[in-house]
Amino acid sequence: MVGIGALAAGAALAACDESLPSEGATARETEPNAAKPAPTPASDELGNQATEYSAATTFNNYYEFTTSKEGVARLAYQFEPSPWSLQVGGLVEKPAVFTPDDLAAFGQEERVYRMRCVEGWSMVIPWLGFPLARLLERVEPASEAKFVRFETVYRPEQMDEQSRGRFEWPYVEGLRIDEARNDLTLLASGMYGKALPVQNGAPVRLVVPWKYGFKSIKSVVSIELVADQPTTFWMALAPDEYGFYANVNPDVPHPRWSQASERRIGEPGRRDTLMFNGYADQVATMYAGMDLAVYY
Amino acid sequence: MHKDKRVLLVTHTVGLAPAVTLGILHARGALGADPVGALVRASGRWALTFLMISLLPSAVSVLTGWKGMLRARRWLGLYGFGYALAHLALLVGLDYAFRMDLFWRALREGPAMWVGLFALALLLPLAFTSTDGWVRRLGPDWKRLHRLVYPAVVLAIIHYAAVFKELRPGPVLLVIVLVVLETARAVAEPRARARRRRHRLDVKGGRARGAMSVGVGGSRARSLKSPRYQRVRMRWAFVTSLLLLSTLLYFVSLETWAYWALLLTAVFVGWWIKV
Ligand code: HEM
Repeated sequence: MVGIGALAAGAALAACDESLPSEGATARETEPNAAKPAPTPASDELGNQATEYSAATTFNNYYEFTTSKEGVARLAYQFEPSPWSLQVGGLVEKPAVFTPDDLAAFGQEERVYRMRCVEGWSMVIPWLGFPLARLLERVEPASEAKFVRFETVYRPEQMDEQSRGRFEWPYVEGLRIDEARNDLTLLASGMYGKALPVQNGAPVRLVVPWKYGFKSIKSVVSIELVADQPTTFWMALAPDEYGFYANVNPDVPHPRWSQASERRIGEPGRRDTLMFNGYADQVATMYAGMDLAVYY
Repeated sequence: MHKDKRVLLVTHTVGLAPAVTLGILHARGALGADPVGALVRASGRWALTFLMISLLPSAVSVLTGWKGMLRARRWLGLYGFGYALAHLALLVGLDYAFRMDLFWRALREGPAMWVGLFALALLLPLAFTSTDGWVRRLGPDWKRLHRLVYPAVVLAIIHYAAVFKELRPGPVLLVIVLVVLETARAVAEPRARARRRRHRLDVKGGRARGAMSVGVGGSRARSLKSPRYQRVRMRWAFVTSLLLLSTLLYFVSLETWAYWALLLTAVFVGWWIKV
């Protein structure tokens, strides 16, 4: 509880530029200071307004709970996000275990990112977090470390779908180490100036905005530096359909549907999907010379 | 009320209930964060549900000899077609907002969509020839043409399975229901044919039609015992099939209490239909 309170206090700091409230628990509820103008709703660098908070917290995929996007928020109350510990190990010089308080000490900044789901819908979400690169720097990856493997918590008694046999748990994701070190890659513990709701991956999740949403693994308990490319949850389920890279790419359709456009939640009509979800300037060089239809 | 009218009343109540329920939910803003997606998905599920229901009357008539539901068959099929058209219209008009460049590209690059479109194309001639006039004009060909509903349903189930990231229980369940239903029909078919042949022989053999319907004489009495027994059996066929279908609906859709209230009313009205 204290950990999350502290995170949220950091969040309030970043979002409203206020002084730190004295008590962690009240910080979660803190409204912007009445003396200052209310902050305008966040928008991304392209001028896209952030999605309504109520939409971002009631419509999302989190298969550990259910495969229904409307159903996740309804089941989230069963989950207890604290206490929490995040193990960081594998091919590193200084393996470590981080609590939410430790993570808060890395600093919290607001980043408004577009989130594009592989199913063809999207949102714009103001995250609170810090670049994963900072955490990696702390544990000092060995030179053999080429990939980063992430794992979600396994708690079948608190997460409905995990207690059934349909999928291979726990959820696993992975990044190439240069992707993990990219400044866009965020370890987030809040959104919309508040602590992360359970349905959105409390207490700590990854955000990789130029890749399809399923790469942004939630409720992370383990980060491991490895030499070989990890097999992710979706790769294991259907290797021909979901690759390791999963970069947003309007020109590489899913085998069963087009990825050329998306429905932005809260907006009428459709938008053209942007290459690398609009982050090509920051990420395209990492894939220079690669055939993105092969490395999908 | 005339029994035909009662069957039609039930059919139209069941047929329009989803549209009305969805309309109310949409007007109240109760379709969640993605109302457009919710409408496209719901109309697709209802299309498939009604197409599946439209297969029941002939199966029930083969299995039990009860022909009451056959009166509803064409309407059930038309509701399936109607919801499929609405599904496409909502997709093009609301989701794609008539951005036809994007829609054509989605169609070109999406096998999931081709399969849906193919299913809809198969239904087109069926909907067109669903009037009494066409039934008369086509004669025995009508029945043969309308067997196209089976490939259409199979394609629709494939389409349903294909729009999700992974294999869902919904389409698998529908395949199971379809296989059970058609296997039962195939098993019962020879007996039903024998029943019909006996009936024809009786008529040819000089027995007056009147005699058959007045008394309990002729082949009817031999194959189905007493009229009371027959009535109970028919009612059970009706109610069991509706229960089977509600189970189906439960898995396939997520509409609210309003829909269930209407459906249950229809079941109770159905029980009291004089067959
Ligand atoms: C007989 C015709 C059709 C039937 C029975 C049908 C049925 C369905 C069903 C059951 C779903 C899944 C709903 C869910 O998510 O639970 C669906 C989804 C979908 N259908 Fe169809 N469909 C038909 C025709 C079409 C056509 C012609 C198109 C477009 C060309 C189409 C495009 C789609 C799309 C894009 C989805 C995914 C919607 C979403 O997830 O947002 N369908 N359909």
